[in-house]
Amino acid sequence: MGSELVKVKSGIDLAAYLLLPILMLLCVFMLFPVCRIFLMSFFDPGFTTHHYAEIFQGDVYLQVFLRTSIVALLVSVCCLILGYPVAYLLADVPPKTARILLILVILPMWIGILVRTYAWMVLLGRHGFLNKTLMYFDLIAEPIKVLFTSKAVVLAMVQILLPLMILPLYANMKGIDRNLLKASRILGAGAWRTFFHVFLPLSSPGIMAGFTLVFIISIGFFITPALVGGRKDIMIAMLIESQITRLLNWGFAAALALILMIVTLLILWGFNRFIGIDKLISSMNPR
Amino acid sequence: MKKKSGKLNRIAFIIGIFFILGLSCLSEATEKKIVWNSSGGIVEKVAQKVFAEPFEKETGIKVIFTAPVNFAKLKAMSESGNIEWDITELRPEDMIRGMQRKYLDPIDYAIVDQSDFLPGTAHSHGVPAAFYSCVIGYNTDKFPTGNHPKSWKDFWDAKRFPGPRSLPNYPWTLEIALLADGVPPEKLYPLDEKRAWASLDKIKPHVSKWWTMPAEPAQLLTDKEVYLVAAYNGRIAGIQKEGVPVAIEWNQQIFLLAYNSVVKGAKNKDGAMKFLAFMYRPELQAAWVKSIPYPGPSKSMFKYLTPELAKTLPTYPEYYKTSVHRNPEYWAQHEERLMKEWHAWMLK
Repeated sequence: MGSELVKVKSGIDLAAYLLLPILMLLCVFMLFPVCRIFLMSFFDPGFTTHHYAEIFQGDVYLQVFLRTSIVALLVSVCCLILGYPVAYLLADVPPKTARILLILVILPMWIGILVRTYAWMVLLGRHGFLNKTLMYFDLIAEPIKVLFTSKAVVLAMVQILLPLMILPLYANMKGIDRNLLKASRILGAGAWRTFFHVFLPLSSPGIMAGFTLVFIISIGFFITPALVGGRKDIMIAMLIESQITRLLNWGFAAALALILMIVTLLILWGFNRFIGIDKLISSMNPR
Repeated sequence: MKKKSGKLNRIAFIIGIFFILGLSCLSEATEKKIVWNSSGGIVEKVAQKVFAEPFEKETGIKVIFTAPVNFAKLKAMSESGNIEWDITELRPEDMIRGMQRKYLDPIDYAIVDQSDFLPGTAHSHGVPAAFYSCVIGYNTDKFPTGNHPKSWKDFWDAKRFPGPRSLPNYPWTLEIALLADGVPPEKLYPLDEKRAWASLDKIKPHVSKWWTMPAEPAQLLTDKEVYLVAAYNGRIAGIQKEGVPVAIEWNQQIFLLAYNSVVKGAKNKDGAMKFLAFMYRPELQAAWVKSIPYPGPSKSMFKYLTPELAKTLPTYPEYYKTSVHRNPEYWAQHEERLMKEWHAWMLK
């Protein structure tokens, strides 16, 4: 017993050493720049809070923060709802079929974001495929307006980011021991109960990974909303970009970026609480 | 044996050091090169052939191209003291800001001859690199030429010219709004902002897309997503050549330009001035516009051009007469505030 403990302990030590390079990399390229951005937002050149006062004055920036968060949340939830069954299927079919399906999932990622965004413009436009088809079948008399609205933004972003949801979910589900499901059925649970009480909790790390990935990328999205969105679809990344490259107001851009980071962390923390991963994991290992 | 090879190694090492030193000396011969930061792409290709190659032949100074034009990079360079560019292209507002922040050196007009320039276009800290303009582009199937919007006032008139439109998603659209409301071009500045916002409110429901990237309005016209745009002349000319039924109305073109400026602390300032002087020879300026529809400030260049080509340029005398000029000082001062108000208006 004692020797086993020592073994485990030294194993942890070794793992810690192996983490050292990535920790150093993160310190230099992540922690240091974040600290600099933090300082930049408060010193201009003397100590000042006027960048933050400017953000909370009037409602332009707050409104944009709110819109950005809502779009990112909506995109992440849609990706989850659409991606979960796909990942389930991928993990369930024979490996040969899974390989082909997986290629189909990854394939769109080889095409540039700009090209995929333009493809949506062709599909959704006034004379686009969607409107032409609907009008051909006499379902509508006038073209409906989808392009240059928030609907188009969410639709295009979901399509672009979907693979990033499916892949972590698939990796997680592949590791779930299917015998547990059988055991649940044998013990008398129905299909739904087995799913909600056994499979779903076991897949929650995958959900969290996929959701985090999609959410973080979509909250900084830029080109797609600018191209397919309407006039109200302003994302915070657009404002940060114009502050940096056009107006050279780096202190203000830093303040916006820092608040964006805090908002992102808060929302992810909230999601974590909502899904309750800690609870689920502890229920998995009652000891 | 071992000793001998050691000695040989040492000799090889020393030769190597001298070789490397020699190479770095060669590449450090800065008076034999200048670095020109421009827009890159096709612009760079043409500039290489038209300006850089003959310049190197005449003076022995090689022109190195970098891209893209990025004011933030100029700021970073100037603040760190590591100046990589000799000449950089800049938007007028940025040139003014760069001058105020002391990132730029004044142009030596004893070397650069400005007598052939369009009057009033030479600036103390920048030579006009290229003129372009924001024009009315229209679908000729929907509005046959002759019966098309001939001014910004017509552009605003959704009763006479119905159909979706596209305008720039930038606060300088306020200029267009004022012209549309009947403000004469010479009385545009300082902008009557209240009147401009009110005028924008009128066109808002008819604008289906506020564009951010210059390529967008051309694409929107091609897809018949909109029938009327305010866009850069080169973009409309581009799709016109591809056979899209569009045309340009030059009246009240918003006349725009980019400057070439010399960066303070440039490694080869003399070479940079010499190159600027060389570039503005009329025959070279004429050769330039044969490939790029954005002309320089040369007046006498037109005698080297066919009338057909001349009529595609924003500096064509007849178009130039009715053009509207932006005030870069005003924008350098107010852009930040107006940008915020612009976003607020967009969200309304």
